[in-house]
Amino acid sequence: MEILIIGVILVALMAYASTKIKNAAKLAYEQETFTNEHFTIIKPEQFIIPVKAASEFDFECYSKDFAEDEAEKFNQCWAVVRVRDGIIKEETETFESDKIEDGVTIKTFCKVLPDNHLNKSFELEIFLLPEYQEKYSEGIDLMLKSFALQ
Amino acid sequence: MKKNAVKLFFFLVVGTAGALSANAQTISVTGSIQKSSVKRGTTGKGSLVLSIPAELHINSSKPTSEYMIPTKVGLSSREVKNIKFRYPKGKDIKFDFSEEAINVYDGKTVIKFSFTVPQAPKLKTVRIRALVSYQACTNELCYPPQKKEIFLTAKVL
Repeated sequence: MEILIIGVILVALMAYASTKIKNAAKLAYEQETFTNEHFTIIKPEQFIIPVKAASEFDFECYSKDFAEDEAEKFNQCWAVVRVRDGIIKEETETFESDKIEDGVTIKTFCKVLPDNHLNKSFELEIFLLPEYQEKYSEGIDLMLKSFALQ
Repeated sequence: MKKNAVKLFFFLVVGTAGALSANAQTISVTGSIQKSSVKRGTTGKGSLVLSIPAELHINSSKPTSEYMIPTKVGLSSREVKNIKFRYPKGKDIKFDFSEEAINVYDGKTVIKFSFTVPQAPKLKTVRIRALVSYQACTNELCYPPQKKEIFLTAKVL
C-alpha cells in the first residue's frame, strides 16, 4: 500500500513537472516585443530567441521548425539584427535578395535603419527558405514593420 | 610515474577550468518590477541588478576598447509595450593588461527600465524577460562571455 502511495505521488510530481516544462516552452514561442537600448522589434509567434553566451548579433530569433531534405540543417526562417559602424544607407530602406548557401536558396529580407546621431546602422536581416514563404509571410511583415529605433 | 603525471595533468586542467567557470558564474543577475504590481494603462518601473563580486568587474555597455565585449541587455515581453532603459555610466579604470583605461561596471550595478501596461481588462499578470550578456574580468584576465536570462513578473491591478 505504501509503495502504491509513493508511486502515485511520484507520478503526480512527474506530471506536474512535465506540464510546467511544456508551458514554459510554449511561452518561449509566443509573440513578444524585444527591446534593447537602441531598437525594438516584435518577435512573431513560432519563433524563439536563443540564450547563447557568445553572439555577434544584437538580436536573433529562429523558427521552431527546421527545413527538410537537403536543407535540413537550416531553420525554415530566422532573423538577426547587427549593428554596423557608420551610415550604410542614408534613409531607412527595405529590400529583398536571394543567396545560395550549401546549395540551398535562401531569400533575404533586409531593413536598414540609419542613426546619424550615433553614426551607426541597425540592420535587420530575415532569412527564409522560399518553400515556407506562405507560412512565415505574416511574421516577416511583422518583424519588418515593427523594427524601429527607440 | 607516467600514469601519475597524466592524472595530475587531468586534475589541473579540470580544476582550473572549473575554477574559472565558477568564478565567472558568481555574477548574479536579479531584478524586480516596482511594488510587484502595476496598474492598467499606466507606466510601470523595474530594475535589473548585476551583483559583481569584489575581485571581478564586467565591461560596461561602452567599454572604450573594441576588443572588450560590452554588457548588453535585451528586454522582451508579450504583454507590456514601450520598454525603455538606459545603461548606467561605468567607471574608467586602468588595468595591467590594457594600455588605456576601460569603462567597467563593478559592485552592484542597477539598470532601471520603464514600460507601458496596456488598458486590457483581461490582463492579470505581466512578464518581462531579461537577457543580460557580459564579459567578466579580473585585473589580470578576462573570462569567456556569459549570458543570463531571468523573468520578472507583476500582478496587474
